[in-house]
Amino acid sequence: MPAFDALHAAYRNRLEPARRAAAAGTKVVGVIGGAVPVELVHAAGCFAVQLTAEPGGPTDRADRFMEDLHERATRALFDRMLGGAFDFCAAIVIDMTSDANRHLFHYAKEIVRQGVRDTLPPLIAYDLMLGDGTAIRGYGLARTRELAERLRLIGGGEDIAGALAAAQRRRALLRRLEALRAEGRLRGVDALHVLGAGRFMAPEEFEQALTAFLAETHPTLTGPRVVIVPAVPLDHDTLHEAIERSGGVVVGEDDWWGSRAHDGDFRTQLPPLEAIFGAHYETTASPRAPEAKREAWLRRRLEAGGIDAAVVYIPPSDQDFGWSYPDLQRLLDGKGIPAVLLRDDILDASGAERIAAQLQAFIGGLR
Amino acid sequence: MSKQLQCTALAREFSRSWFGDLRRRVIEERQPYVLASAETPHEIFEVLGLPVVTAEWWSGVVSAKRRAGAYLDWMNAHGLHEGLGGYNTLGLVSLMAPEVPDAPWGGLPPPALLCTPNRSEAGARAYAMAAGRLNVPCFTIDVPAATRFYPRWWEMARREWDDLYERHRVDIMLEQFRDLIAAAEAIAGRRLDLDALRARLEAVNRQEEAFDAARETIVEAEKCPVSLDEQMSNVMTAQWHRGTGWAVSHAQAFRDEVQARAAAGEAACAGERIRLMWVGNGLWQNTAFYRAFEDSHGAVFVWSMYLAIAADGYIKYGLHDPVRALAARYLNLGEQMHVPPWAGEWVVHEGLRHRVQGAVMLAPPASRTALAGNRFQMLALEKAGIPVLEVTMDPNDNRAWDEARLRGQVARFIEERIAA
Repeated sequence: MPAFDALHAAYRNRLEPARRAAAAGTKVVGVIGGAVPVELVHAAGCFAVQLTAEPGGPTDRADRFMEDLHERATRALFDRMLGGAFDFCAAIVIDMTSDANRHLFHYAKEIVRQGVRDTLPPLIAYDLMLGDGTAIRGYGLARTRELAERLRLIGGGEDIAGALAAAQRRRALLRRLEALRAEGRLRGVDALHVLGAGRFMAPEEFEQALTAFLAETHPTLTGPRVVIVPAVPLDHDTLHEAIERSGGVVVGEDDWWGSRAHDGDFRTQLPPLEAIFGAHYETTASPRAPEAKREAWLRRRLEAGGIDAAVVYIPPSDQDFGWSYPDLQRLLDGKGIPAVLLRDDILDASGAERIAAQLQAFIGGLR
Repeated sequence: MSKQLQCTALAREFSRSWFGDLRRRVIEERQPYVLASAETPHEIFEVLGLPVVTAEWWSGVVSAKRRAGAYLDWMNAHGLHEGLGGYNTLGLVSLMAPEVPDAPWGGLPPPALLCTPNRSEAGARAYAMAAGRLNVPCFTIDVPAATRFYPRWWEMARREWDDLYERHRVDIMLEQFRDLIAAAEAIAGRRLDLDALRARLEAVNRQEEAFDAARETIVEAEKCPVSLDEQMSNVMTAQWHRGTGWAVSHAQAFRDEVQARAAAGEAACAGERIRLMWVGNGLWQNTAFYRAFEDSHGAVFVWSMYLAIAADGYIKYGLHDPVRALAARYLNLGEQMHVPPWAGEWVVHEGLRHRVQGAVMLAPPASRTALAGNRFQMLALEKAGIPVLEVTMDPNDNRAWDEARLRGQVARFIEERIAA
């Protein structure tokens, strides 16, 4: 599967394509969070790369400044920032759609102000708010216009219509990917790698590899079809691996790294920038979105059928998602979907062991 | 130990009788009231004749009555895990759990409206859950993110707030406040009188000016004239009713008593040798703790964020559009007390002018929002020559309160890092 190999390699070596692009003289813009409209980065003629922590990676440098109650992924990402891993970027755009990203932005600003690091790439806050109403929508559109202008100043390009057309093609392909998953014809781990690769590759290379991958034969897999509902976005495949080792097939995940990455359509009757903004505003999977927007994808996915079970993952560090758990449990019960709640940390060795045992019992029971 | 201020007893009595009156009006006369987060524009509701109960105040009452543990147990029994208990949400939980016995002062009656800023994911989810359970509407205010930071924000916050808080951010808050006014008007059955709101905000300014003067007296007095627990209870009782005739008079009476005591050379602790600051949310379940080191070490807590933020965060001059001024107030009030780059510079400024020799900083284990920024504040204070002790403790949960451990920690800190 050469097409998959290229996608898998990009998922594993996340900064490599961006570093190559930078070495070749292309301006690279790092993005943090799932709501940054990368289409605008592409429109400016820049290379967009998602900046992430190494899953389970070190936090030593960050620990001096960032309290350990912050999610490990946030601390590890901050650690990489402090260590200079992203210094090749011409700018870093952070979306403000989560508490974690807001804290990260403040902390990164402060280390520059305090003189701890004086060479961070310029930080750009993309303040997308997701509440309902025309005022909030108008605010987001204005911030999106500002972002487009800042990116244009960095990259020099402004082909927003071209970037939108390419994004539409990718979304169409990714919907075919999701359809394959719904039919149980892709391992969740593989699907996650494919989806993730799009965050690290050049868009045209990703489109080419994805087209080739979809053209291959994908036989139907056996095993209960599982949807993951995580409290934190899963930027790693460890939980998927554990579920699929236990005999399940992960057919979707309720976060922006997974099935919600390319949810929703661009409304092409609108001017290109508004169409791009609208898709992000309406469908971004954000913990700060109103309840109805947060839950929309899962409700729709459960209605569509073909789900045998749900895995709810709330690691011990959680301080917010848990408030929604009683209603989530009620929703799953109401749909007759058996569910298991995992409260250990999958990235911790002993936690992973306990989770493996829980999953064996749960998925074994389903079969 | 000094004699209690006269206004301290009056504040306690006022809270209790105000709440009793509210219960009577809501339960017997079926008047609507609003349960709102501290960081929402209470003045709008009150000018419309809708009483406001501050969710954080009620959390504090629950904690002070040592009932927090019972509600936290209820949460765990109802599918809400241990990591969710927080200062901001305890009041909401008490509403959802009427079956928990011995609610303070008879408990909260059901509100007509919930109101909260979307400042933290936990808070927004908790309010959404409470709204669903109680079948009450919830108005959530989206708070835009700050993108530009000025040094010494407190010097701009009173008059240059449009620039400090970024005009586009003030604009979007204003738009949302207009929607909030419409929602509140529908409940109140009347239109908001903008002149009355302006007068109310002018009264708030007078109240906070009185607190500012009290703070200056504490700064300048050779020995601190008022204990921290009395500062906190007087300031916050007035703050929860800010701009009312009672609150303005109370703030002025507090200022006058503090100034009179300072002029007479009276001190909270006659043997004061060491000044401390308390950084973070208040120990509402046991405010007497702040006086525990006066006799043994001559160590007096002289500062907390409550009096200081009343002066630096609330005063807004330029009230030609009173709703806009209110909108500016709530853009960063929470961050200014906790989060870099706002908080570190401010606590150092306050600590130095209050002549503190050490800071005790709260690290609440179940509240990322309240903890965020501690490390930067600690680094800034230490760099300024103010040693810091961080104490990990839930300020509300009476089940976890360990007085001996906490006393031991603070005593060692005083002996080893300050007195030595």
